[in-house]
Amino acid sequence: MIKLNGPRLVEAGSAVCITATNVGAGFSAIADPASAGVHLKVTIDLKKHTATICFVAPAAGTGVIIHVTDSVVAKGSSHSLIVRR
Amino acid sequence: MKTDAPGPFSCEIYLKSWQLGYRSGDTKLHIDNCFFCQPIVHGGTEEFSLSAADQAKKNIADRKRLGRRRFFARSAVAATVLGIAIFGAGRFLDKSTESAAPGGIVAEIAVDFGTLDGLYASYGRPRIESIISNGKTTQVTRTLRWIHARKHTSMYDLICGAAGSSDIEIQVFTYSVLHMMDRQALKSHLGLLQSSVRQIRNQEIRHEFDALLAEIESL
Repeated sequence: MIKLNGPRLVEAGSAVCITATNVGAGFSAIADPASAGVHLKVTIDLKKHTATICFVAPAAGTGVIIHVTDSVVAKGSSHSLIVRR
Repeated sequence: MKTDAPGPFSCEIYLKSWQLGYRSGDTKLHIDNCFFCQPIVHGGTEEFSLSAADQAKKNIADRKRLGRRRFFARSAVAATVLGIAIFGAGRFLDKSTESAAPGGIVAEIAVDFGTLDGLYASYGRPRIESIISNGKTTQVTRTLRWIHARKHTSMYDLICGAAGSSDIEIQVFTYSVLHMMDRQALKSHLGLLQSSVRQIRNQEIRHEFDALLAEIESL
Protein backbone atom coordinates (compact mmCIF):
# COMPACT_ATOMS: atom_id res chain seq x y z
CA MET A 1 0.00 0.00 0.00
CA ILE A 2 1.24 3.47 -0.81
CA LYS A 3 1.92 5.41 2.35
CA LEU A 4 1.71 9.17 2.48
CA ASN A 5 3.49 11.41 4.88
CA GLY A 6 2.93 15.10 5.11
CA PRO A 7 1.76 17.99 7.23
CA ARG A 8 -1.80 18.26 8.54
CA LEU A 9 -1.78 22.01 8.99
CA VAL A 10 -0.08 24.40 6.59
CA GLU A 11 0.11 28.12 5.96
CA ALA A 12 -1.72 29.65 3.00
CA GLY A 13 0.62 30.21 0.06
CA SER A 14 3.34 27.99 1.44
CA ALA A 15 4.94 25.19 -0.52
CA VAL A 16 3.69 21.85 0.71
CA CYS A 17 5.42 18.56 0.02
CA ILE A 18 3.96 15.17 0.72
CA THR A 19 6.16 12.12 0.41
CA ALA A 20 4.83 8.83 -0.83
CA THR A 21 6.54 5.51 -0.23
CA ASN A 22 6.03 2.07 -1.73
CA VAL A 23 5.43 3.66 -5.10
CA GLY A 24 5.42 1.77 -8.39
CA ALA A 25 5.58 2.70 -12.04
CA GLY A 26 1.86 3.35 -12.31
CA PHE A 27 1.88 5.99 -9.64
CA SER A 28 -0.36 9.00 -10.09
CA ALA A 29 -1.70 11.68 -7.81
CA ILE A 30 -4.68 13.99 -8.08
CA ALA A 31 -6.07 16.76 -5.96
CA ASP A 32 -9.65 16.08 -4.96
CA PRO A 33 -12.13 18.30 -6.78
CA ALA A 34 -13.04 19.63 -3.36
CA SER A 35 -9.55 21.14 -3.30
CA ALA A 36 -10.10 23.54 -6.19
CA GLY A 37 -7.08 25.49 -7.38
CA VAL A 38 -4.48 23.03 -6.20
CA HIS A 39 -2.01 22.05 -8.89
CA LEU A 40 0.31 19.20 -8.11
CA LYS A 41 3.89 18.71 -9.14
CA VAL A 42 4.83 15.07 -8.79
CA THR A 43 8.33 13.65 -8.94
CA ILE A 44 8.87 9.91 -8.81
CA ASP A 45 12.01 8.00 -7.96
CA LEU A 46 11.38 4.51 -9.20
CA LYS A 47 14.69 3.23 -7.87
CA LYS A 48 13.82 4.22 -4.34
CA HIS A 49 10.08 3.60 -4.87
CA THR A 50 9.27 7.02 -3.53
CA ALA A 51 7.46 10.05 -4.86
CA THR A 52 7.11 13.64 -3.80
CA ILE A 53 3.91 15.57 -4.34
CA CYS A 54 4.34 19.32 -4.07
CA PHE A 55 1.83 22.14 -4.37
CA VAL A 56 1.17 25.63 -3.15
CA ALA A 57 -1.31 25.75 -0.30
CA PRO A 58 -4.56 27.47 -1.37
CA ALA A 59 -6.58 30.02 0.56
CA ALA A 60 -6.64 30.02 4.33
CA GLY A 61 -9.41 28.04 5.96
CA THR A 62 -9.71 25.57 3.11
CA GLY A 63 -8.98 21.89 3.13
CA VAL A 64 -6.95 19.89 0.66
CA ILE A 65 -7.39 16.23 -0.16
CA ILE A 66 -4.83 14.41 -2.28
CA HIS A 67 -5.58 10.99 -3.73
CA VAL A 68 -2.82 8.75 -4.96
CA THR A 69 -3.00 5.46 -6.77
CA ASP A 70 -0.68 2.93 -8.30
CA SER A 71 -2.47 1.19 -11.11
CA VAL A 72 -0.14 -1.82 -11.03
CA VAL A 73 0.36 -3.25 -7.58
CA ALA A 74 -0.03 -1.10 -4.51
CA LYS A 75 -3.34 0.08 -3.15
CA GLY A 76 -4.25 3.72 -3.34
CA SER A 77 -4.31 6.10 -0.46
CA SER A 78 -5.22 9.67 0.35
CA HIS A 79 -3.97 12.49 2.49
CA SER A 80 -5.86 15.52 3.70
CA LEU A 81 -4.70 18.73 5.33
CA ILE A 82 -6.06 22.01 6.55
CA VAL A 83 -4.79 25.41 5.45
CA ARG A 84 -4.38 27.39 8.63
CA ARG A 85 -6.30 30.63 9.02
CA MET B 1 32.34 -28.92 -51.10
CA LYS B 2 31.89 -25.44 -52.33
CA THR B 3 29.03 -23.08 -51.91
CA ASP B 4 28.56 -19.96 -53.92
CA ALA B 5 26.70 -18.36 -51.07
CA PRO B 6 23.54 -17.25 -52.82
CA GLY B 7 21.89 -16.06 -49.63
CA PRO B 8 22.38 -15.28 -46.00
CA PHE B 9 21.91 -18.87 -44.87
CA SER B 10 24.30 -20.44 -47.28
CA CYS B 11 26.93 -20.78 -44.61
CA GLU B 12 24.49 -22.42 -42.28
CA ILE B 13 23.52 -24.91 -44.94
CA TYR B 14 27.16 -25.64 -45.48
CA LEU B 15 27.78 -26.12 -41.79
CA LYS B 16 24.82 -28.47 -41.44
CA SER B 17 26.22 -30.65 -44.14
CA TRP B 18 29.59 -30.34 -42.47
CA GLN B 19 28.11 -31.51 -39.19
CA LEU B 20 26.72 -34.55 -40.95
CA GLY B 21 30.24 -35.66 -41.81
CA TYR B 22 31.10 -33.96 -45.09
CA ARG B 23 34.58 -33.03 -44.03
CA SER B 24 36.35 -33.47 -47.30
CA GLY B 25 39.55 -31.61 -47.82
CA ASP B 26 38.07 -29.10 -50.21
CA THR B 27 35.93 -27.42 -47.58
CA LYS B 28 36.17 -23.94 -48.89
CA LEU B 29 33.31 -21.56 -48.73
CA HIS B 30 32.52 -18.36 -50.54
CA ILE B 31 30.37 -16.28 -48.30
CA ASP B 32 29.56 -13.21 -50.31
CA ASN B 33 26.46 -12.42 -48.32
CA CYS B 34 26.69 -14.69 -45.35
CA PHE B 35 24.66 -13.10 -42.61
CA PHE B 36 26.27 -15.15 -39.87
CA CYS B 37 29.88 -15.23 -40.96
CA GLN B 38 30.46 -11.69 -42.09
CA PRO B 39 31.41 -10.49 -38.59
CA ILE B 40 34.37 -12.87 -38.55
CA VAL B 41 35.29 -12.90 -42.24
CA HIS B 42 36.29 -9.53 -43.49
CA GLY B 43 35.88 -8.38 -47.01
CA GLY B 44 32.93 -10.49 -48.06
CA THR B 45 34.29 -12.96 -50.56
CA GLU B 46 36.97 -15.13 -49.06
CA GLU B 47 38.04 -18.64 -49.11
CA PHE B 48 37.03 -20.24 -45.89
CA SER B 49 39.47 -22.49 -44.09
CA LEU B 50 38.30 -25.31 -41.86
CA SER B 51 39.35 -23.43 -38.74
CA ALA B 52 37.35 -20.44 -39.89
CA ALA B 53 34.42 -22.77 -40.49
CA ASP B 54 34.79 -24.08 -36.94
CA GLN B 55 34.71 -20.58 -35.67
CA ALA B 56 31.66 -19.79 -37.81
CA LYS B 57 29.93 -22.89 -36.52
CA LYS B 58 30.59 -21.85 -32.94
CA ASN B 59 29.41 -18.37 -33.76
CA ILE B 60 26.15 -19.66 -35.20
CA ALA B 61 25.63 -22.04 -32.27
CA ASP B 62 26.19 -19.20 -29.84
CA ARG B 63 23.76 -16.99 -31.67
CA LYS B 64 21.14 -19.73 -31.72
CA ARG B 65 21.61 -20.45 -28.05
CA LEU B 66 21.45 -16.76 -27.25
CA GLY B 67 18.37 -16.49 -29.43
CA ARG B 68 16.65 -19.23 -27.50
CA ARG B 69 17.57 -17.61 -24.21
CA ARG B 70 16.21 -14.32 -25.44
CA PHE B 71 13.05 -16.05 -26.57
CA PHE B 72 12.51 -17.66 -23.18
CA ALA B 73 13.49 -14.48 -21.38
CA ARG B 74 11.07 -12.46 -23.46
CA SER B 75 8.34 -15.07 -22.94
CA ALA B 76 8.93 -14.92 -19.20
CA VAL B 77 8.80 -11.13 -19.23
CA ALA B 78 5.64 -11.17 -21.35
CA ALA B 79 3.97 -13.67 -19.01
CA THR B 80 4.98 -11.62 -15.97
CA VAL B 81 3.71 -8.40 -17.50
CA LEU B 82 0.43 -10.11 -18.46
CA GLY B 83 0.07 -11.50 -14.94
CA ILE B 84 0.75 -8.13 -13.38
CA ALA B 85 -1.65 -6.48 -15.82
CA ILE B 86 -4.45 -8.90 -14.92
CA PHE B 87 -3.67 -8.60 -11.23
CA GLY B 88 -3.36 -4.84 -11.53
CA ALA B 89 -6.63 -4.55 -13.40
CA GLY B 90 -8.35 -6.42 -10.60
CA ARG B 91 -6.79 -4.16 -8.03
CA PHE B 92 -7.62 -1.11 -10.09
CA LEU B 93 -11.26 -2.08 -10.34
CA ASP B 94 -11.21 -2.66 -6.63
CA LYS B 95 -9.58 0.70 -6.02
CA SER B 96 -11.85 2.49 -8.42
CA THR B 97 -14.68 1.95 -6.00
CA GLU B 98 -12.69 3.26 -3.11
CA SER B 99 -9.85 5.72 -3.13
CA ALA B 100 -10.46 6.70 -6.72
CA ALA B 101 -14.16 7.13 -6.07
CA PRO B 102 -15.58 10.40 -7.36
CA GLY B 103 -13.68 13.19 -5.75
CA GLY B 104 -14.86 14.03 -2.32
CA ILE B 105 -17.50 11.33 -2.46
CA VAL B 106 -18.71 12.29 0.98
CA ALA B 107 -18.97 15.92 -0.01
CA GLU B 108 -20.80 14.96 -3.15
CA ILE B 109 -23.36 12.85 -1.41
CA ALA B 110 -23.68 15.39 1.34
CA VAL B 111 -24.55 18.07 -1.15
CA ASP B 112 -26.68 16.04 -3.52
CA PHE B 113 -28.56 13.52 -1.45
CA GLY B 114 -28.55 13.98 2.24
CA THR B 115 -29.17 10.40 3.35
CA LEU B 116 -27.57 7.01 3.08
CA ASP B 117 -30.49 5.93 0.90
CA GLY B 118 -29.47 8.59 -1.57
CA LEU B 119 -25.96 7.22 -1.53
CA TYR B 120 -27.26 3.74 -2.25
CA ALA B 121 -29.49 5.07 -5.01
CA SER B 122 -26.65 6.91 -6.64
CA TYR B 123 -23.79 4.42 -6.43
CA GLY B 124 -25.67 1.17 -5.88
CA ARG B 125 -26.05 -0.47 -2.50
CA PRO B 126 -23.69 -3.42 -3.21
CA ARG B 127 -20.91 -1.07 -4.22
CA ILE B 128 -21.24 1.11 -1.16
CA GLU B 129 -21.56 -1.87 1.17
CA SER B 130 -18.53 -3.41 -0.50
CA ILE B 131 -16.54 -0.26 0.19
CA ILE B 132 -17.71 -0.23 3.76
CA SER B 133 -17.04 -3.90 4.48
CA ASN B 134 -13.95 -4.70 2.46
CA GLY B 135 -11.67 -4.05 5.38
CA LYS B 136 -9.55 -1.33 3.86
CA THR B 137 -8.86 1.81 5.74
CA THR B 138 -8.69 4.87 3.57
CA GLN B 139 -10.25 8.06 4.78
CA VAL B 140 -13.18 7.61 2.44
CA THR B 141 -13.86 4.12 3.71
CA ARG B 142 -13.59 5.15 7.32
CA THR B 143 -15.90 8.06 6.76
CA LEU B 144 -18.38 5.86 4.92
CA ARG B 145 -18.29 3.45 7.84
CA TRP B 146 -19.05 6.33 10.11
CA ILE B 147 -22.02 7.18 7.93
CA HIS B 148 -23.08 3.55 7.72
CA ALA B 149 -23.08 3.19 11.48
CA ARG B 150 -25.68 5.96 11.66
CA LYS B 151 -28.16 4.76 9.11
CA HIS B 152 -30.89 7.02 7.87
CA THR B 153 -29.50 10.06 9.55
CA SER B 154 -29.26 13.34 7.72
CA MET B 155 -26.01 13.60 5.84
CA TYR B 156 -25.33 16.94 7.42
CA ASP B 157 -25.68 15.30 10.82
CA LEU B 158 -23.29 12.62 9.77
CA ILE B 159 -20.66 14.97 8.45
CA CYS B 160 -20.95 17.17 11.50
CA GLY B 161 -20.70 14.08 13.69
CA ALA B 162 -17.63 12.81 11.86
CA ALA B 163 -15.74 15.87 13.04
CA GLY B 164 -15.86 14.38 16.52
CA SER B 165 -14.03 11.25 15.48
CA SER B 166 -10.93 10.44 17.49
CA ASP B 167 -9.10 9.69 14.23
CA ILE B 168 -7.14 12.77 13.23
CA GLU B 169 -7.34 11.77 9.57
CA ILE B 170 -11.13 11.74 9.67
CA GLN B 171 -11.13 15.09 11.46
CA VAL B 172 -8.97 16.71 8.79
CA PHE B 173 -10.86 15.00 6.00
CA THR B 174 -14.17 16.11 7.50
CA TYR B 175 -12.91 19.68 7.72
CA SER B 176 -12.00 19.54 4.02
CA VAL B 177 -15.54 18.41 3.27
CA LEU B 178 -17.20 20.87 5.64
CA HIS B 179 -15.46 23.90 4.25
CA MET B 180 -17.05 23.35 0.86
CA MET B 181 -20.55 22.63 2.16
CA ASP B 182 -23.37 25.11 2.28
CA ARG B 183 -22.73 27.20 5.37
CA GLN B 184 -26.39 28.12 5.75
CA ALA B 185 -27.39 24.48 5.74
CA LEU B 186 -24.66 23.72 8.25
CA LYS B 187 -26.02 26.41 10.52
CA SER B 188 -29.13 24.36 11.16
CA HIS B 189 -26.87 21.58 12.45
CA LEU B 190 -24.70 23.87 14.48
CA GLY B 191 -25.45 22.19 17.79
CA LEU B 192 -24.16 18.82 16.67
CA LEU B 193 -21.15 20.37 14.99
CA GLN B 194 -20.27 22.27 18.15
CA SER B 195 -20.53 19.17 20.31
CA SER B 196 -18.40 17.24 17.82
CA VAL B 197 -15.76 19.94 17.70
CA ARG B 198 -15.56 19.92 21.49
CA GLN B 199 -14.35 16.33 21.28
CA ILE B 200 -11.34 17.27 19.17
CA ARG B 201 -8.26 17.12 21.36
CA ASN B 202 -5.64 18.38 18.95
CA GLN B 203 -5.58 22.08 19.77
CA GLU B 204 -4.40 23.26 16.35
CA ILE B 205 -7.09 21.36 14.52
CA ARG B 206 -9.62 22.39 17.15
CA HIS B 207 -8.68 26.01 16.50
CA GLU B 208 -9.43 25.63 12.78
CA PHE B 209 -12.78 24.02 13.48
CA ASP B 210 -13.60 26.78 15.98
CA ALA B 211 -12.87 29.36 13.30
CA LEU B 212 -15.17 27.52 10.90
CA LEU B 213 -17.85 27.37 13.59
CA ALA B 214 -17.51 31.11 14.19
CA GLU B 215 -17.90 31.71 10.46
CA ILE B 216 -21.10 29.63 10.39
CA GLU B 217 -22.46 31.25 13.53
CA SER B 218 -21.94 34.72 12.09
CA LEU B 219 -24.29 34.06 9.19
